[in-house]
Amino acid sequence: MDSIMCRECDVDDFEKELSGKDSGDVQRVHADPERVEQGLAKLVLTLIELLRRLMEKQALRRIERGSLTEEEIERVGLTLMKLEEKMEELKRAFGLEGEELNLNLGPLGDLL
Amino acid sequence: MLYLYGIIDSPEPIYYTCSGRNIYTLAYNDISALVSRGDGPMTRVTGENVIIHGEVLNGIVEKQALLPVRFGTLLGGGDVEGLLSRNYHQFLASLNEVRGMVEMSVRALWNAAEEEEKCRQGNDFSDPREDLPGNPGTLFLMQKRRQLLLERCLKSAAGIPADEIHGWLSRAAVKHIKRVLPSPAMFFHGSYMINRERAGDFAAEFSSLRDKFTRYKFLLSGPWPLYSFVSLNCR
Repeated sequence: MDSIMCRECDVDDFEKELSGKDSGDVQRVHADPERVEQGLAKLVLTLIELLRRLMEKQALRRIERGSLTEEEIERVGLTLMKLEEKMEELKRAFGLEGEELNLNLGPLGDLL
Repeated sequence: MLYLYGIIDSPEPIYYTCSGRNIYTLAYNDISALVSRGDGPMTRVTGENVIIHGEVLNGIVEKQALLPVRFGTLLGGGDVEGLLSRNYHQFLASLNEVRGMVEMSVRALWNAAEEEEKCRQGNDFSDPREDLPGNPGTLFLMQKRRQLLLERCLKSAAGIPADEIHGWLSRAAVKHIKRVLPSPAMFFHGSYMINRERAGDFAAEFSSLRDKFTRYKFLLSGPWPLYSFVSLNCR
């Protein structure tokens, strides 16, 4: 049987969708020296991004439960906003601008 | 260095070329590692490298049971024999499980903008705290809250057709994996482990499904090596 089945009119949509996905889901620490720094930066920033997203989710859960005062919401929000801005700055500094930070954990799927 | 593509269930020497790479086997008892000479540039995730990796596996999968190894795996020559000997029983058991099996993949797209609009129309995601002046931190969190509520709504909306589609297709599968909303436009991605001889039947089921769910766009691909169903904990 054919290896691909798709209506002709749909092929472009799938090509666009699948080529936009990061085929670099496979994360590697590259052995060649020129890319070691960037590879390590990506690893570290991915872990920081994980923590950032967890803190954000935790804050939103507490807002939903009503367990934060208005003042606390503002303070936590400012902190998380600045953290997000700093992450973008670091990504730019390491040439990872626009790149999706993620780690593939094999059978466990992606970290983020 | 050697680039490792997979483990197969034969000790017989195999040699073929694929896109300029000389592929051969290193045997241990009644299994072998499928390898070629390797270097760092081969592990870079480029379209060309990924395609070649797939073509190497496709060149062997019809003839042998195969445990595909993750893209970009490099080992020292001596390490390959060590890998095979330390994990021999696990590899043998896994090869027995996958013999005669292939993976079929089905993806489905929906109109993401339309679904988002439905979620926004059907739910009130607003919060009075969004309008508080001079509170940038609060506004930041309220925007995140809105995004989270939208994501939940979309996931729930995607789950309904995804469950139905997956239920339909998984009847023909030995094992199956369902992913709901892996990306905003792709609301469903299913992987199915089926007997190779049933690939044609599966394609027919897919055609019926596509005729039933006309508002979505579908893509069937395969048969592939069992990328999604082989999970090896190597020592």
